[in-house]
Amino acid sequence: MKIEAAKVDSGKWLTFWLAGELFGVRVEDVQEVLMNQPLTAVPLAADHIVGLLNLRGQILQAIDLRRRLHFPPREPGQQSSLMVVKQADNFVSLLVDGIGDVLELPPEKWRPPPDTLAQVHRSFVLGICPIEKHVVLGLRVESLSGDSDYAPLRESPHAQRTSSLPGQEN
Amino acid sequence: MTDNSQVERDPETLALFIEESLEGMQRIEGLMLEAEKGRPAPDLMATVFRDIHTIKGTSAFLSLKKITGLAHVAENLLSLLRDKTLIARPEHFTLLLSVCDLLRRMVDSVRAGNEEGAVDVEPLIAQLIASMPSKEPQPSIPPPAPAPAVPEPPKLGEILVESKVITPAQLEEGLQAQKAAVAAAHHDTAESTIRVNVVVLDRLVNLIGELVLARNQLVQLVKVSRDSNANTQGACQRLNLVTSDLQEQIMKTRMQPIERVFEKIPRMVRDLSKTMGKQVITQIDGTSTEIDKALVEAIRDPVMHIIRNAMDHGIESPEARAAAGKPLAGKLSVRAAHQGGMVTIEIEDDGKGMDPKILRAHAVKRNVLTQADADRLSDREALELVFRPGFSTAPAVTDISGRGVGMDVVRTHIERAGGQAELDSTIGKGTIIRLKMPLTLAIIPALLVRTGQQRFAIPQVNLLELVYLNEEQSRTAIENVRGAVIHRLRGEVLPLVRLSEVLGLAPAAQTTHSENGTNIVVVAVGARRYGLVVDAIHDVEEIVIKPLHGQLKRLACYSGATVLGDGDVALILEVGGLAMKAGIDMSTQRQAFELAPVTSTQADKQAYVIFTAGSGAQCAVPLAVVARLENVARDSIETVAGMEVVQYRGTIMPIIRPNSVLPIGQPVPRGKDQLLLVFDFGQRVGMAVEEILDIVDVAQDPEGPQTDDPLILGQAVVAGRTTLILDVYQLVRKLAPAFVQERRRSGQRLRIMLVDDSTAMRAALSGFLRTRGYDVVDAVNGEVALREILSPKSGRFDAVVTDLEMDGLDGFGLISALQTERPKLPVIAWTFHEDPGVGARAIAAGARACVNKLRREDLMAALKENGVVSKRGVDAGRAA
Repeated sequence: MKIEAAKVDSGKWLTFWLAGELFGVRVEDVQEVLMNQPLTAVPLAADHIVGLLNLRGQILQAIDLRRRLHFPPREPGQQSSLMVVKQADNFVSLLVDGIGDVLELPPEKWRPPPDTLAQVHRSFVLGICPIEKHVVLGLRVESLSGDSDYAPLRESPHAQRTSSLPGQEN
Repeated sequence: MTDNSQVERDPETLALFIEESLEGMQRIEGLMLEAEKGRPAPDLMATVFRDIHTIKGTSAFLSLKKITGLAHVAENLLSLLRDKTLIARPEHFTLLLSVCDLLRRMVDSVRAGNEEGAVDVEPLIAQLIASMPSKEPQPSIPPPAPAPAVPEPPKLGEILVESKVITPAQLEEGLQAQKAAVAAAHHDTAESTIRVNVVVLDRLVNLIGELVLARNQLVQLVKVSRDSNANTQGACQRLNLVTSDLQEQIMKTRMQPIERVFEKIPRMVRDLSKTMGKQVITQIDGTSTEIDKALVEAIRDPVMHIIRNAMDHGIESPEARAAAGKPLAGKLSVRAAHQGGMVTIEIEDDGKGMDPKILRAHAVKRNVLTQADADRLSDREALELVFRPGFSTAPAVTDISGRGVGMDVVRTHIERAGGQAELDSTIGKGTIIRLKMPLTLAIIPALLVRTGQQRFAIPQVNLLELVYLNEEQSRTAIENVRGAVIHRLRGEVLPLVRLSEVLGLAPAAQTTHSENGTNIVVVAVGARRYGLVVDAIHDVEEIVIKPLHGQLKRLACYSGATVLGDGDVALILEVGGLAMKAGIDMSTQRQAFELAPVTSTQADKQAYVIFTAGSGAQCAVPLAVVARLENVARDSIETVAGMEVVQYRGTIMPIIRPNSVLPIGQPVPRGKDQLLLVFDFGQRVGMAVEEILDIVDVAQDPEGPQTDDPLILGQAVVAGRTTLILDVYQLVRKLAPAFVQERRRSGQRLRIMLVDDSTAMRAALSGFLRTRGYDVVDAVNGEVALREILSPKSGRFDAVVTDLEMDGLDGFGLISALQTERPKLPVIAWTFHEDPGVGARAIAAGARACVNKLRREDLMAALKENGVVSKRGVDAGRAA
């Protein structure tokens, strides 16, 4: 049960909120955070691809992270932010609920994702890092635009299951 | 002497040498092949001699000893052949082709950075020497060595000393000058040409795209802020113009002549016809047609494959041709041309053609189709079968073609590069394959359409025509045939695809039926065509293609995305993928062919651009007179002496407004851009128009002139509306008379005409002359130079510097011609020739001086002596 040390050895993480969960991305993978970007829808594309956006002449895909991770959809009118992250040679932008703080999370504080985490989420999560009141889920960025599309889990209310994690850690 | 002491070579000169030598060898090869066929070019040997001479000279200059050595001996043989001292025999051609091959290998090796490589030139040199009469009155033949196992061919200088042409002291002096010149070339050529990594060019293309967007936004902001500060306005306008110019120049850096693909054809055809025992005459036209570098690569293999196919399956054996009453030699024509913003490449053979019956049978045998399906195919569709995967018609699998990878791969390659492949064939007459390619991969013209709230781009290469059906026509002219929606367009059944439906956009209920008309974009994928129904049709725009990644790439409905002028992103539709997605039933199309055979005779019709230029009647001009469509920012239009003008491609282009003299109503300015139809009568003139409605074929001489207005050629009814056909020439003459005649005279720097058939030499010397404050115009031979000098358009020249040995009109001819035409114009000859007699001849013909190419300071001195002294410094600053 060794976690992938190389993947979490960065000290600084940008945290963001998604359906009540606190996620983290290594700061060096984050290009910038955008607000109020007009998106161009891509008909026929997978659900989680909410559109294309123009970032200074470059065209990026915008992925709704809630849909990608099979979380319940955002309430109408609920705020969202676009976070541009590096992914292989490209940039991809992620639609998240809100941006949190930049935290210093040293590698030794990281744990492998617990078995209780739904399989569907385990493939997106590098590891977890308990902090004061929460647990930061380390996002595996390269898994997001991969081809493998995971069927939404119906048998379990996975959102609830993950939200129970902080309790276990405390 | 044999050590490979790395001579310090200027990389630019070296690069030019490599390019030029390869070109030269290509040319020699072509000429040799022609000559072998019994059609020697009139001055074949002289031409080949010059090319080899140039290679020898430049390689010596670069200390490429093996190349110089081989070229030198070949040159000797050539000079004998040229002077008819020796009569050319077939083995001479073979020998000279071997020389080309070997030279090419060495040049390739030099290009790869490995000096000349481990190539042994000695055996060939020996053969060359053996092919020449042993004792010839040729002063510069190397002494016939007992066994030509000389480790290194003698140096030119040594030969010259040995043959007493020059003294050792002169040799030393020459070598010093040569070194100095190499050092000088290091500086000069660096300023005229540099090599740039394509990756950098690609990045530049991306950056210019971003710059254009930023420019558009800034221009908009300045406009909105109503900043009346003249400085802001001026700066903005300059930025605007510079950006457009920059964009154009950057795109130019990627263009290459299609010759890069075509130059390999003659040799390939020769080799193939030998292998196959066929006789083939090749005819290649349009080699100078320019196309994006990336596309040159993309079409190379498909073109070669098509030619192999034509040679293998198309052109018959001489016996079969004789039996069919055809000339024994088959004909293969390859043509390239710019056509409507695209490059069309046609490959035509006069072979046996394709038999739809055989194709059908073959498709069934290969399990590509069931018998029933095959029987239903029209002949035209049957021809399309060759593009199906796994379809190969050669009765026997030959090693030339017919391995199952065939035309399907060709089409895939071409379509992937944004082009189209079409085929036409007549049994017994031959086959023609037409490739239509965009000019560039990076920026293409595309039609913007809207469906629901979203805009999409359709590449112009796929566009056939636009059809608008009004409410009444929409009800009657759109039929439902067995579940397929079709429209009868001029008797042909056109399957219709609703873009909103195929993309699963807003259901029909939501579509705004305010106008209730139907907009149909007729698109083509190969020979298939269908109509795409959209909510609205916007302008044609030049769009920058950005690739899509990951899952989106595999959707097959989009070939990319682009950023529009207002910063929005639009998807580029891939019409082939859409057709598949929509599951267009091609059988309805087959029905069309049966119902009403396509009337393909378009000869009596002409394409017209239909547009509005005011609120009143719509207008039309022949498509043929329109050079370009341009969008210019309205605020870049200035008024000079009562005439509207805009800076366009470095010149001032007048803008005419037809509504000022024609009863077509007032235009209603919309948006920040003004759409222009650009005509080119030597001088470009832009016509301000409101909106391009359509491009349609209109029967010529529609209804004859019905008005006395000389500006109107006639009238026609297009899409139910009266359309005035304008007389562009009369309009321009009436509205912009001054501009048509005016010509701007530029600069006061001294202008030199530089004539040399070597690109490397032209580049090196023109760079050098420019650093000395001269303006330089160059020409590849005497004819081109003479035409330029005598042309009333080109302005005054202050001196001519010319090479002597050239194709076409050579230096001597040019000097004599100028003696009569421009006796006062100083002409200076420059040459590599060491023979003082050559210089004397040039001076006798009228040259003011004859200088060695290696001594540039002599050239400067000669220019000074003849009063051609530049006012350097003063003008250099001004030119910047």
